[in-house]
Amino acid sequence: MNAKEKYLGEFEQFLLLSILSLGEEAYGTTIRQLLADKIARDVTIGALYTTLERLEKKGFVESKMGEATRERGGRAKKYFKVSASGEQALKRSKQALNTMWQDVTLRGEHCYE
Amino acid sequence: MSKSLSSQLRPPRAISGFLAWSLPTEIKEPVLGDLEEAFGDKYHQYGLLAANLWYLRQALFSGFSSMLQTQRSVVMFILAMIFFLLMTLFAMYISSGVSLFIDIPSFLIVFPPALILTCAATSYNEVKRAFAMLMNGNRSYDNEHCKRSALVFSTLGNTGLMLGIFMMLIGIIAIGNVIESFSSLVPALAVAMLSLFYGVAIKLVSYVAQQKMISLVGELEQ
Repeated sequence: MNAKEKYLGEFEQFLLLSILSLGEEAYGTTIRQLLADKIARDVTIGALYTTLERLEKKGFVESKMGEATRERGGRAKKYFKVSASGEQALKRSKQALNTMWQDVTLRGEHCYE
Repeated sequence: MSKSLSSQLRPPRAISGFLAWSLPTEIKEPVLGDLEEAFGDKYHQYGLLAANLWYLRQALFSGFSSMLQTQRSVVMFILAMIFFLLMTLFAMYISSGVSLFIDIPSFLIVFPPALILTCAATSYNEVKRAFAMLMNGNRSYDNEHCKRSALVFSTLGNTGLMLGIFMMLIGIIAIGNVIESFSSLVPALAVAMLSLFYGVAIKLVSYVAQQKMISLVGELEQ
C-alpha cells in the first residue's frame, strides 16, 4: 500500500463516517442529506458517486442494489456498507490526525493533547 | 394524486436524458433514482421552479464531469463537426454569401433519398443503431456492430455523392434543353451544382463517421 492509499482524503472520511452513521439506510440521497445537515456540505450527486465508486474499487466500501420505488421513477437504490478494510483505513487516518494534532496549540486555545 | 400533478413531479425529461447519456452505466440507475427522489422532496418543500433549478444544477455539474470520461470520443466528434460547419460557413461568407448555398429543394432531392437508399441497402435498424453509436460512446457494442455501422456510413456517403452527381446531371440536361442565352446559363448551372455540393457534404461527414467506426473496431480488437 502506497502513502496515498494509506490515508483517506477528507471527503472520503466524511463519506465513510456518513455510511457508518446511517447504517442500513446509507444510499446516495441519505448520504448527501446527512452531509448537508451535519457539516453544511452541499455536494453534487455525481461527485458523491464518483468518490463512492473509488472507495469501492479500493475495497473500503461494499454495495448492493435495493428496491425500486415509485418516487424514484422505478429505479433501484444502491446501498453502501463500510467494509472491514474501510474501517481500518478510517482508524489509520484518525490516528494519524490525532498524532499530528498532539502538541499543537492554536491561538486562543489550549494544547490538544 | 391527479395525473397532471404526478406528471409535474417528474424532473425535466431533456435534462434527465442528458444525464442518462453522460453517466457511466454502473451508476446511472442509482444516480437518476436519487435525483428523482430528491426532486420530489424539493418540489414539496419549495415548489416546481426551485426543484427544477436544483435538478438542473445537479444534472449539469454531474453530467459535464462524467461526460468527459464516458463520452469523450462523441464530444470530440461533435466539436469537430461544429468546427467543420463554422469553417464551411466562413468559406461561404467570404465567397459570395451564405444564402447562395442554401437551397431546400436541392437538399431534399439528395439527403432523404440517400437515407432511404441506405436503409434499403442495409436495414432501418442498422441505420438507427449506427447513428445511436455515433452519438453515444457509453454503450457496449461488439466488433460486428461497429463493422456494420461502418458499412452504413460508407453506403450513406457513397449514395449521397452519387445522388448529388445524378441530380446535377438532371439539372444540366434540363438547362441545356431550355437555355437560350449564355448569360442565363451560369446562374442556372450554379443551382444545378448545389445538389452535387450537398452530395459531397454528405460524403465528407459520412467518411468521418465511417472512420470513427473503423477506429472503434481497432480499439475493440486490441
